[in-house]
Amino acid sequence: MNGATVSIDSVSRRFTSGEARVTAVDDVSLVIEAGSVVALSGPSGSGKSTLLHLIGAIDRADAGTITVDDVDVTTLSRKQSAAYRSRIGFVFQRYHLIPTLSVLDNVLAPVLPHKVDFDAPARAAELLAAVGLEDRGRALPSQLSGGQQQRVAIARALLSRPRLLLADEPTGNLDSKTGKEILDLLAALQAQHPMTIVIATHEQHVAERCDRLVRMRDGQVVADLTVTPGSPGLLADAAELRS
Amino acid sequence: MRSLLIGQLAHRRGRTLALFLGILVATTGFTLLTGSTTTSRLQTVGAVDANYRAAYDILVRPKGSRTQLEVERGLVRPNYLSGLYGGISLGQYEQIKKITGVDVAAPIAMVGYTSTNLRAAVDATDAVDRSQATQTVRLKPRWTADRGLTRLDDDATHLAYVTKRVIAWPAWDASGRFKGYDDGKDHSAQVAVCGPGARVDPVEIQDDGTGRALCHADGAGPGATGLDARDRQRLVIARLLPDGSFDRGPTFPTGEHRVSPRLTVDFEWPMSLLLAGIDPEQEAALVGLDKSVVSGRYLRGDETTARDGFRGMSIPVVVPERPALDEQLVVTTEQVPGQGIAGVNAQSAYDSARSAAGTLAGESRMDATDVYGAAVRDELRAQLSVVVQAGSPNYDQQPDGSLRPRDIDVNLNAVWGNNTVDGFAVPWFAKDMANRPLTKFNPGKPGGELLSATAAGVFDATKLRGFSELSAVPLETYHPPKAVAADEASKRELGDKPLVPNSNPGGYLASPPMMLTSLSALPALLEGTPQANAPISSVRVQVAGITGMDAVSQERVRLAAEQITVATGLDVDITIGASPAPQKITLGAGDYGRPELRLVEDWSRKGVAVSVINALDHKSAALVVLILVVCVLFLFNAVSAAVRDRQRELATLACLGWPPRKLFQVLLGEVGLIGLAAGAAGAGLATALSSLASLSGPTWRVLLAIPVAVVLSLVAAVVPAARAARTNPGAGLHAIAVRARRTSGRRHRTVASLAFANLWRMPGRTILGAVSLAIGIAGATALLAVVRGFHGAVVGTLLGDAVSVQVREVDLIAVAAVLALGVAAVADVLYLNVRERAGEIATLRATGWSTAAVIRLIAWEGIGIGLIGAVLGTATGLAAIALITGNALTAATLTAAATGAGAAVVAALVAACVPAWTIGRSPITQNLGEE
Repeated sequence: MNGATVSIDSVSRRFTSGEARVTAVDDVSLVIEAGSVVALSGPSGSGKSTLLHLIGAIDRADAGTITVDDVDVTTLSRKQSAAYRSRIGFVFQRYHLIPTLSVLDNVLAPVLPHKVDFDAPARAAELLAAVGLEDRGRALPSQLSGGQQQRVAIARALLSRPRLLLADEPTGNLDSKTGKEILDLLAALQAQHPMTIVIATHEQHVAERCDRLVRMRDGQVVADLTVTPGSPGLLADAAELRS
Repeated sequence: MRSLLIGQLAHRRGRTLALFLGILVATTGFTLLTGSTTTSRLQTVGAVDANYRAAYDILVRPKGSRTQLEVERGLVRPNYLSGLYGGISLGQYEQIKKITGVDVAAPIAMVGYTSTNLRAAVDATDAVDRSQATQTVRLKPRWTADRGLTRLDDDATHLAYVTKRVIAWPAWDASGRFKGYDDGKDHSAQVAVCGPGARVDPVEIQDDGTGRALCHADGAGPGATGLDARDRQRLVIARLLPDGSFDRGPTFPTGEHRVSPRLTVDFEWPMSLLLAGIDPEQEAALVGLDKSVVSGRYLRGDETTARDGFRGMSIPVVVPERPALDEQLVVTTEQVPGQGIAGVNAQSAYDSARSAAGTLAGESRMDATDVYGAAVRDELRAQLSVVVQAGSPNYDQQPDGSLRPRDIDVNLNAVWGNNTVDGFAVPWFAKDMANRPLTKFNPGKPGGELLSATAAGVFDATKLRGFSELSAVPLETYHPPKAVAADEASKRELGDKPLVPNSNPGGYLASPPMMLTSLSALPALLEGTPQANAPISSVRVQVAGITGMDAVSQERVRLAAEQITVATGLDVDITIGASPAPQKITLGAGDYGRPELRLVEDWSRKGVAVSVINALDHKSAALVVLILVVCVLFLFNAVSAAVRDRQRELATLACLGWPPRKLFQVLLGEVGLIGLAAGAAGAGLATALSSLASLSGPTWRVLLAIPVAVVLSLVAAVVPAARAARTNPGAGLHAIAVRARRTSGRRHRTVASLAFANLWRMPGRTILGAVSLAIGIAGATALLAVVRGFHGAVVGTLLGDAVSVQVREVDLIAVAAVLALGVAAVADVLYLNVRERAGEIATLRATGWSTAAVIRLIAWEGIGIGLIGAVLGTATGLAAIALITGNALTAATLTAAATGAGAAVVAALVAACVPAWTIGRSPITQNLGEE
């Protein structure tokens, strides 16, 4: 198990806002190898989050196909989309924890509507231990710090043992130290459970931790780089992000 | 400020529309239903303190049948049925039967007096001188009544001719045709003396072998009225046989001779019998008439005319075993020597026999009770060719307060004087002074077959229910009226006995109905008469659940009486608690010896007087007010949500220097403007619906919708607006988060438990939705319990006073409106919940929750509100019933509660549909962004 292979072929997504028509993703083609950690970078409005949403089937492409392993994500029905989403992991910038649920229940939230999975609570506890929150299972999200909440969100994303983890600005709401801890955590978890990770980010230090950097602007892929520390592409990307 | 105000309304169209519709429904419902809260109410005046109860609780009579005297004195006259010939239609009767609380509704359709001829056999044997070869016995009848005070000598002297000679009797073949004399000789020459057509009279064979006709001059031939003595004179011919027995000649059709050791002479006893129609089933339920039948059979509900051999068509009747009549026949028997009638014209023989001196031989006395009893044991049949209807007496009030019924001269010939009585004579006492006007009608089709009534069964009136001491109120249908002497002189005259009716239809005291048939048989009698369309004279109503004279029982009776009045417009009298009210009567002297009598007659004093007034139906009014209450709750929630939604905007305005008062005015102005528009629309809608439903009402009531809508809006908005105006501008600029409440660390293992936790996050809103629903459910539960458990009306006590709650259609509409608003309020609560939690729900969907799972979550939240509403609503509904009846734990009320609870959950589920469907289909990415 090395994670899922993601093939993106000529995918476009357009939005209409009043009389304005915005192309958020414009004819993007991309293949993400199984087990790789890929950063989608670019400034605000470049289309990286939208592409992430399309891969995660929480939005639907207007054109093109996205195949995750053998599943064509763009043709799934609502029901199939939900089932697909339950098999992948999603981490959001603002954590999106359910405030009424305890930490443990938040981790278990994805399986709540389904038939009793006797393995799930134990696995949730394991994941909480893995993210360093084994003693906070009964706490409410509001009682946790931002970094702890994001750890809970990561644990929730990993409950279904996903082969694909999508993270949308996972450190965007965190200070740099906490952000680094989160990235360390993701790296450790990826080492334990090989999976494909796609991270949308505009932070250089995040991109540096990835195997590959896909740079986007105005909905298009403008660069696709293999990341090696200090590589010119990465530096150029960082400069653009800063600008 | 105006542009901000209008801009807000236009920008938030969905919320504006929701507010508009909520106010529109409430004000339209309020306007339409307000007009229905006033209803006719039967007001009772007086207290029941007499412990009397008739067999029925309410007497229903045709509109306007209460006499002035009854109204003035608060009484019901005895013989209240007399003079009442119809006035209540079968449709009105059916309406009465269907009224809630009416246990038994027994109608009586008075038809009128029919008459029958009873036969009184007077024994004249002892007057016969057995030594005589031929002789005549004269029998002179006298009729007495009124305890012997009325004595009527009848000129219709009967004669018995007794001979030892052989008599040649006429003989008939099987078809009834004369076939000659039994001695085989032709006696036509001898019988010619009897007059034209009299060729079948018997012939006495003289010692020389010749024959002499014995001319009959019997009774009423064609054209006879019975008023003339000649119509009723009788000649009995008998041969005294050697063994001392009497041979009365052959009988038809067998030809066998009637031979008897006794010589009897039959006198016709014309008797008036009051005929009435009843509903056999209801009469059985009311007084047990079916159980009192002692011979024959009881009536069926589908009786109609049936062929009665050669006698034409007959209707079956049941008759009492004993008549309630005081009548006697006294016959003086005399020997009249030398009065041979053989070979003499009949009338000449009569004339000489009547006037000749005679020797008193004896006197026979017979009572109507015995004669009637013999008749009912054999077969009682009454003619229905002429039916006489007696009206009510009119009274003159005497200076001493007594009542004197006015005398009426009845033109007997006008009533009976034609040839349609079919051989039935006029009741003797019809000749006496009358106190009631008489009219007649001829039942059946003109030229149709003869009609008669034949006794199918005989009942014993003493076995009827309602004849106990406590029911001795003179309101009973079967209770024979009587009057006792009021002074010593009258007491002496009456021999210390009460005066009771005789068979004079115009007499003051009228007998109760003595022939009862089924209502179904009446169309054949009443066809073509004014009574045909409304044949029923009165309906006696027994109310369900009457346990005594207590206040609750009285209220039950009042409520049933009120419903009857409202439904039919007929006169009602409450008889529960009625008591005998003796009235002094001065009865004028009769034409045949009865002196003026001073009497005391039992009338009935009503326990309570009734009057119909327009009154507010408090329960209907309360339901209409509940519409407004639920509307205020709905608006309060909606305005609160709108304010929350705009908290950041309001904070911005506050930061820009707007004073709280201005913010308050903006918010109130917005809602007031919506209220004004909804009120105007409500007035228009109410006008349209009123004209569609043919409801009428003053214009001001329709226009009332506008101020009601504005006030409603402002009342609902004032608290949220004030709260928003006081908001800290800095805090308001931050995003609003839906609070999370600790649920004691409980794990959520199911969607349902998560849903319930969500409800707990906004407890005020949840309770508001549940209360909105509960108000409707409480009303529905209570109404359902009343309809199911109490047949549409419940009577009980509240704070010691007897009260009644009756479910009207308008109440059901009001409850439906309250429920609809309750459902809308729950839907709004759920909608606001999911809207404010859109980001959370999007997260769940992003982690793999399907649309169905999200819908399930919202549905469970709806069920949660529904369950709270169910508990609150059904408990309140049952409490309301318990408050009135003292016991709400009956099967029917519990069923109503279960239904109400189910309705609450279903209503909440219905309310959840729209928000669940909306959020289940909304874009995840957009909602995630809104978080």
